[in-house]
Amino acid sequence: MSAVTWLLVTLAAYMGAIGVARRAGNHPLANPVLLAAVPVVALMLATGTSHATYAHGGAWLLVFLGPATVALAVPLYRHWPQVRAAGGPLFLAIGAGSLTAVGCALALAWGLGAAPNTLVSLAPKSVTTPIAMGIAETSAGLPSLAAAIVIVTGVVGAVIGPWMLTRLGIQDPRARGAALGTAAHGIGTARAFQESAETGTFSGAAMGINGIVTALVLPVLLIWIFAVT
Amino acid sequence: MTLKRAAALAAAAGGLVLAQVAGMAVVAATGLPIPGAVAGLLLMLAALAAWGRIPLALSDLAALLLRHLNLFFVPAGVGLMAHLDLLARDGAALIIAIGVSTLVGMAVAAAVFVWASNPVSGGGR
Repeated sequence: MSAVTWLLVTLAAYMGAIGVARRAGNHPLANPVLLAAVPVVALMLATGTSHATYAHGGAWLLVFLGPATVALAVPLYRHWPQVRAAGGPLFLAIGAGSLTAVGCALALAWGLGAAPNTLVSLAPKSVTTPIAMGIAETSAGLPSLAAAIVIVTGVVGAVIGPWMLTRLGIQDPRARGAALGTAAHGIGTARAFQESAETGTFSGAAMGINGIVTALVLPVLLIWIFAVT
Repeated sequence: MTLKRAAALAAAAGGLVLAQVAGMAVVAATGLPIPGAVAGLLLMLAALAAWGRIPLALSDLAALLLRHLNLFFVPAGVGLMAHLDLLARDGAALIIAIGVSTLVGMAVAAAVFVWASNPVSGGGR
């Protein structure tokens, strides 16, 4: 099948996925990325299609990630007074959450015996896919593996995160948004917008700020970590 | 959809792409290690602040894109498949490390936000 066909297959799978998610009351477990990827992969296996062939079609959708990131400026501008008023707590939350996630991931993977190049790809896992790809590339990680890791991060965060935050007694939509955006990037932000516009705005802001902070701090941190070990 | 509305939506789409390209250009020119799209986000925010209001078409287009943010991650989700061998080799370690660290980081971010924004019981600010 051609690239355009795979693009249409992906769109159809996504429309089916949001239909199922809506029927499930937009429950976090009914994650559209997960639900849409399953039938696409099944069809690829059934037709013996390689990922390289699929990627030609899929790349058309990746193009939208940039403009969608820019589009986050709209809710951010709309809710600017609230975001500005919560600036201090937001920055502290992003810094603490981001450092905890990266440190925890590296320590766990190293402790469980992952290869060094896997560790480099693992480090920028908390930022949105194109951002993480860029960081992993300059730090000599494996870009595609970094992308895979980013997806697992986002899906785990968007599926289990809301339930965990509720169990921890976190009701404040600003706190939920900051946490989802910091730990689970764009997929967490997509989930946050399903909760409320305010949650989504804080999630988008946290994702953007985390992207900037991670890009500035991570290369230095990695050099330091790998020099020490 | 009227012709005027279509033109407004096209202009809004052009604005988003222009901001992204401008962001990438700024990053390339200055050598700042921040992502081009995030620089574009900041430029768009500055443009909206200068304009003083959100054009209706831009507001609608942004809402549409953000409502379907998940769609743009589906190809990467499918891409996981291409790396199942790598994931299987380091699989258990990776999945555990990713899952646990994501949730721990999220819990810490939420807890710190609540602590820092509640001066009565938290003593933050």
